[in-house]
Amino acid sequence: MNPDEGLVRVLIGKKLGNRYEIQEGIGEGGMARVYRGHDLKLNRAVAIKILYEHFAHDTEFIRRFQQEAKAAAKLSHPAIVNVYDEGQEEDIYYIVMEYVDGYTLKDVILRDGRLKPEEAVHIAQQICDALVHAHRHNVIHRDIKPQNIMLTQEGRIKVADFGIARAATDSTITHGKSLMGSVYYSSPEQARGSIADQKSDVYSLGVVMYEMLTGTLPFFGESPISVALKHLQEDITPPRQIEPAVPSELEMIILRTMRKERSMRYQNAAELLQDLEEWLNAQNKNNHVKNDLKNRLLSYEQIDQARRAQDLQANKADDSHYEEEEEDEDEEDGDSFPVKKAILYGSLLAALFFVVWFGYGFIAGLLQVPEVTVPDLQGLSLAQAEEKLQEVGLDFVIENEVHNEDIPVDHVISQNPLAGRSVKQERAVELVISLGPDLVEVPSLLGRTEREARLLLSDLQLDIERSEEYSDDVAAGLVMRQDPGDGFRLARNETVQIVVSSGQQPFSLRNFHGWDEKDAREWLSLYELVLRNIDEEHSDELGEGKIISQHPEAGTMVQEGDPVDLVISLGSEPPEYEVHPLTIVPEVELFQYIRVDVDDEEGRRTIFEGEFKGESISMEIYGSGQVILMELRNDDFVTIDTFTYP
Amino acid sequence: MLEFSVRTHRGRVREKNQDCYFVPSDGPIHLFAVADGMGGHAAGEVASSLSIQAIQDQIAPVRHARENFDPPRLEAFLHTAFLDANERILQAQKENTELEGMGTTLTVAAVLKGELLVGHVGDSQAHLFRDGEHQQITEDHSLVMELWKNGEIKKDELRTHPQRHMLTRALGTPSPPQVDFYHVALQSDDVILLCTDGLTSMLPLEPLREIIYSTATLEDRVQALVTKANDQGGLDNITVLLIRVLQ
Repeated sequence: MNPDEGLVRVLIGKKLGNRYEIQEGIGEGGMARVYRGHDLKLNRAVAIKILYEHFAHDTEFIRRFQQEAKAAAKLSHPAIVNVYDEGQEEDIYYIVMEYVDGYTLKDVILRDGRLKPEEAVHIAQQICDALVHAHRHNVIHRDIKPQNIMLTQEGRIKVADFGIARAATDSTITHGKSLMGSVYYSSPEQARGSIADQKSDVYSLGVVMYEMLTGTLPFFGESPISVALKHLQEDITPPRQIEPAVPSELEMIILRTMRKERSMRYQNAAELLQDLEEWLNAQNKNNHVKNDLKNRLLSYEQIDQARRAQDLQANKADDSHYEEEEEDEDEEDGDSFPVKKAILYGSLLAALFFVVWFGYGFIAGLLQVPEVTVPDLQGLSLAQAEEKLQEVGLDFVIENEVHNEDIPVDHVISQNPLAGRSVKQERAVELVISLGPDLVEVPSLLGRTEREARLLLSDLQLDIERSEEYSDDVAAGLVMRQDPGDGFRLARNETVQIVVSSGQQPFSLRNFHGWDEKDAREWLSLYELVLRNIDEEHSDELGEGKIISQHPEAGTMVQEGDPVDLVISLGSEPPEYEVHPLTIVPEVELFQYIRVDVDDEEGRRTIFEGEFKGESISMEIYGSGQVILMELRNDDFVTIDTFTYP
Repeated sequence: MLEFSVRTHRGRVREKNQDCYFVPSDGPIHLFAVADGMGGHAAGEVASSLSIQAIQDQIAPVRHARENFDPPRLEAFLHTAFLDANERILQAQKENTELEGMGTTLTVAAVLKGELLVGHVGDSQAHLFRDGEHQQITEDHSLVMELWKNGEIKKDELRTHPQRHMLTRALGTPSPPQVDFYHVALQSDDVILLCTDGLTSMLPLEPLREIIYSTATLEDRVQALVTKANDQGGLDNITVLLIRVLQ
């Protein structure tokens, strides 16, 4: 927030349109900063969205923004953040919206990880409801994502920022470049640049559902473009492969919302809404059935007391008659028992009248409950089991819920009575239902050594699958990525994939031949290679200080931190021939002006020149050569003696 | 020996010119750069000029470098300059909220010892014209380029797609930019074109090639390109830099 402080300070306390007082900054988006404010006229809290300064100078952008804000203001729905007003004061452009006290769905997913299926569907249903309303008014959201979905303190859902994404994208067409942002929730057609429609919102909602149910996004990538291309080209991993607890019906719904081809998706939000509601109803029905069972068991005692004369089967027969009344009594529980009892007695009475009315013969008919064969329910989903039982007129009761490695969650592990038994109709079959595998939480492995990661996972009885990748930021040998991420729950012996950094991407080592040592050092430090050994050698070809050779060879792929050895020239090698020290005393007259030259492997050179005073003259002969004795005659040196040595 | 000419123009639609360029004065390393800023208000200009400044500052101490300052070393130096440019833009954004979200493209061409080194981020372009042929040296870092490479759109959509201005890389991003480098061995009479997309989005290849291979002076060719881009609409700022290899 630091960079904004100056601006926030200026705006806090400011009144816009002589009506809205800015109170405090509460968030930032791609285009605007959001403040909590107060509507002085209606005396209520509002949210005020103020466009970033650089947009406020852009008339074309403002025009589109206003247009979209006006369209959004037409929407009025309990699951849509209401847009109340928009206006401009000096160069502050603002939108006044309903103030929502709560969290974004993103906050919730980040905090809690995946949501329970019922919760997720409950949320999705409300978003979908909002979309149906907006689409009916020809407003496409275009940017459905958890960051735009608010959860109120009361547990309601509010979708924000309808149509605003359009103002932004359209504006860049006329207003030049922009850098691609995240597209985790974008539909393939949006990624391709085609026009978004209702089905694009459906797709994005599908991604949100996927994330809510699995705690992860369908497509990840290193860059927005790689994510966009995945939306276009890659098949999604079915949610149940990631999270087996996702009910299969929901998986089917999600896969249908996320089809690449628009024509293969739900054709509109209403279609999706219908399926979501149906699924929820089915769940509620299960609960309802469970509640019914519970209520009935409770009521049985009362009935028993009231009608000792009647036998159990007759009671059961009566149930069917007051079931309708029970529909309205969902809320009933132990506390309101007296009411319940009264109604039950009432029904009972009605039943008795009924019996009298139709006569004894009918009762006899009711008492003769037919026998049916118990179907095999093992491995079926609860819904399927219920259906099968209904077909033959049997009821069920969940006897227990236990973890099981093989049977997926909400599927039948065992039943009582067993399949094939004959029982009276309306008997409740006891079911043991799977809670799915006993799950352990995946620990965070990022930044740990591979060995540590292996130990942690083997302690949890999780399997490991490793691969290697280059990384600029993560040191070699450390875990740079893991899948699933930490906090994700896995069954024993499931696999956690880790990617271990193999350090920076190798690059080709250049050829240093002929370089100055200093330059090579500079290059090595620039590429963060380590200069390990420097050897020195003589070289005829390269002068002193130049690099003769290197290890590794030029062209070898190396990485940051790798050692490099260099061999540096000492210049030409001294001659290999023997050196013979020699001392002579020339046989010439004293004070004669002479010169002594040596002509050997090192070339010709003068050893002595001057008046000879009888001294001995020392020299070194390299290899073999001649000593030449000359005397000065008429300004010229004339050879008077030569001898070869050795 | 090189001959070069450069020109930048606001175009006919934009209020401001957010392009920026750099050409060398002297020294054994010949360095050229074009940058195309993005971001509303004044931000785009700030970003592009910051990037050019960074290049200039980085290269200044080594412009008169010794003989053995060769292309690989130059590449390392340029890379540092790109990172520095990114850092400067980020810093400026932090210091001034009006500059939030600004960024820039940056394409740098350096000629050293008969070799052309191009460093590149964004959708400005470097092209090589040799013996009547043409080759685009740089690859645009744009959404449409990726879509085309992946077979999602046709080639002619590159210039018409509604989101053709959506970049996948630019300077001014929180993570250090990935810089592409290209090496070309130069021949005499090669012409190198550096330009911002204000030229290439307006002019198809054919008229562009015609002008570049004309016999007019380099200055006149540059002027002709700018004029032609404006004739075609001039929807964006236009910067054209031509470099010709003399020997």
